[in-house]
Amino acid sequence: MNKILFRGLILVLSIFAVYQGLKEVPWTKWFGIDEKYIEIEQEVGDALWHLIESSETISTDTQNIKVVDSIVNQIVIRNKLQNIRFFPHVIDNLQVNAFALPGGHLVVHTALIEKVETQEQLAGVIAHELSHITERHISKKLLKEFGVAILTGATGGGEGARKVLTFISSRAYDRTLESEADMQAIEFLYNAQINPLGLAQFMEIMSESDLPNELDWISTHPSSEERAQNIKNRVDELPIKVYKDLNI
Amino acid sequence: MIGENPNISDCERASNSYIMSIVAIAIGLPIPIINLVATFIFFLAQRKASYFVRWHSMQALLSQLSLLILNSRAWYWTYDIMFRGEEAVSNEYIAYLIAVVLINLTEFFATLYAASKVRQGIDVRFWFFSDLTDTFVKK
Repeated sequence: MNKILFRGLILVLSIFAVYQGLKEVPWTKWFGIDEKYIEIEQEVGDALWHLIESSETISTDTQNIKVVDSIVNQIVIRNKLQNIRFFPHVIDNLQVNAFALPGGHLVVHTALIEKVETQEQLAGVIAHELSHITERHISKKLLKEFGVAILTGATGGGEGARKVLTFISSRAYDRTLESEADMQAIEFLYNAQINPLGLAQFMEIMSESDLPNELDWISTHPSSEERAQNIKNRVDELPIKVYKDLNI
Repeated sequence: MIGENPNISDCERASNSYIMSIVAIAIGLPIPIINLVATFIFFLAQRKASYFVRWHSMQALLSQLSLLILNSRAWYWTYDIMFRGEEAVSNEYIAYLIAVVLINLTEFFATLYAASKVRQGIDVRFWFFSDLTDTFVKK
């Protein structure tokens, strides 16, 4: 019996050693799998944006577009994010909402722009959504919900894409991803010399407001006050900086 | 020698137990359990056969069982990635798939070798599985 156990153990350990050895090889890099995922993300994102474009009214308010574009540009340039593609879009919609799509599309509703009290608050929301893009949270969320097969199918538009879009625009990420995006947003804003407290202020406004909105990550999150406080605490830890007045 | 001087018919039947698992591999790759079921049915059919035949049927069965476990994991992992999106294609996943393919290939050639040798009445004892077979199959 000891001989069997010994040989069995040797066999299992040998298989395990082969596996461990193979694991060290950068297969995903060799096979270009990361690039393939980014390609799929971009195709899915473009398909979803075309769907929005065909069903929603794209804002023609040049001031709103200018404000959103300027904020995005400031964050991108000051954080050296030029190697990532970003496509900010403003759409006429009465729901207070903003969301990121795969492939760098950022959708901001006009109702949100009207709702914010300062441009720093809008910048906070935009920075939060940009963080979801840079940290690839959208892809993680979509892969978890739909899997590669369905997601790839969504690139063709149609019902699959519609389902994915409804999911993206109306669901919050999980607590860890939201906190990660909050912290990343603070860094983005801080580097861009935009006061990061705007994000905390907007969270407080939305958690007190009873207006209908689809910003789930603020309105329905059980710990939005706690998150606002976490943001304030994090900002307090940062070296003092003179922020620029956003007056776009 | 397992058993004493197996006759030609016994050699062929024992060799067929290995052939069975090889044939099943061709059909069973997408659904790992088919290999095992095929080999198990063959094993059941040989219950009354000579010790030589029963022993080799059992060795073929046990080696298939280990493959079932490894192949099933590969199958479900792939399913998770493709349809449930629990995780993305990772180094760990690719490494596991390659390891499983290597093990399947090793098993495939070992089984072919065993089938050919056993048909000639020559014993082939697989590492670990032969010892395990000794404990399960009594004369």
